[in-house]
Amino acid sequence: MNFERDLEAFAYTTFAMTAISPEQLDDVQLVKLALEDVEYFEPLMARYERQLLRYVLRISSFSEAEAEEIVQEVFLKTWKNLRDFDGGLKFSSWLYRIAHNETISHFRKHQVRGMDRQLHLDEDLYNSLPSELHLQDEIAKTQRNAVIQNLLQQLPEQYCDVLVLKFFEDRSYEEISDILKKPMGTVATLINRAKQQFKQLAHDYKIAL
Amino acid sequence: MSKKLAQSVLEKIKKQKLEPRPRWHFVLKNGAFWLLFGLAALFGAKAVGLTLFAIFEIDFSLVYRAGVRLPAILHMIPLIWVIAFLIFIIAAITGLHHTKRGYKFSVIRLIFINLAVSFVLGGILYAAGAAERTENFVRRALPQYKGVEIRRERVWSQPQQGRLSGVIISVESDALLLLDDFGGSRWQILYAQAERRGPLQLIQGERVRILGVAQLGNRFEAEIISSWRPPHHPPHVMLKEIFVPPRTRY
Repeated sequence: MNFERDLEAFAYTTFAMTAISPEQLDDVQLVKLALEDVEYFEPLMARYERQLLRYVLRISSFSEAEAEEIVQEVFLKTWKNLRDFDGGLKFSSWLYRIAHNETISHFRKHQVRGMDRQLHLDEDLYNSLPSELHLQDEIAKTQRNAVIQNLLQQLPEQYCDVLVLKFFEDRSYEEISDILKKPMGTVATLINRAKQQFKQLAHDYKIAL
Repeated sequence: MSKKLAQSVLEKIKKQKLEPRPRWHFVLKNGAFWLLFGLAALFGAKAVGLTLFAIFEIDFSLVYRAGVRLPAILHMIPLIWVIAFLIFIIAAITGLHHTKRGYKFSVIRLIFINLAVSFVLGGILYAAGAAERTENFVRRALPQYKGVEIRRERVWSQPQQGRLSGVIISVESDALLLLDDFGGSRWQILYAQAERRGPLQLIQGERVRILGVAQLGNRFEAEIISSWRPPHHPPHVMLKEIFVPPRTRY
């Protein structure tokens, strides 16, 4: 009996350590392995930590240090709730959902969201929204950055959330639905309204789109 | 930076010996919301069944002919079941919304699903007679509960408005019977010309409703005499009776 168990453990370890490296495994496989051996949780975290840090910074006014603290909390919650992940939705969507909720909960604790929301705008962000919203190419890049930052800061939070997820995080409608826990139809409506409001704001400020 | 964060989380997990919560914890949580939905839908259906029972016991074609006005008709439906239904429908929606994939449904769809479940189940419970049994049970358990029967008795105990009801004491002839109303007063009912309605037997001990004109000396000239329980029609006829009042009212 012991021999069989040892053999199984050996086979498992051999498969895990020699046959396939963690980078070659998909999220679901890594989750399954992490539940057996916590070491496999590290590559899973490493795979998403940059994305999550960027996402938290994009939807919040927190500093990088605070964002790191939030992401750390996100990973701990993910670990504690790992058995709740059933593969019915993408692991990344589940992580983003936890990150979104954790950021909101951090906002509530510090009462800052919407008061002096500063969007963290990196290169990806600068480039993606203008192309999606057909911002004229001739507008100088620095000018565009300031414009987008200013406009997004003025949008209601729910509109900012969907725009960030759709255009900056490149998430599908279904993924946004899973992340924000809203029906797909609502997500589509929110995105449309967010785009309209974004354009309206641009129009109000006499910015050509 | 990247490696540092993942590593520090891993170290924390190991140091604090943090373990993922067991699967049953989540199964239980999700199950609790399904249970909430199931129970709320079931009780909501009960409330619908009782409301349907109250509505179909009204016997709309007769109350319209009796000239009973809408507020009095609505008063014949125990409001407690309507309120209970609304509370249970909110509980059912909340339960379904908090299940694992509940967020996929819009609020309108959730309301529609719950209404559909409640009305289908409620209709079945009513048709199976469960609503009536529940009504009787609640009436026995809560003496202060003003059920369908009491409300109907009130509406049909207004002889000056031409509505009388009670128990037949004796059938004296083809034209006269004696009746005790629900207040205990004895009446002589002249029914030779009366239109008979419903599963009426005209025997001693039978409960009846009478539409007619009160005369002096506790005499009542009946124009329509009906069984206490309304005649059972198919649902579409019942609905027609509710929404299409007869042109000539009594």
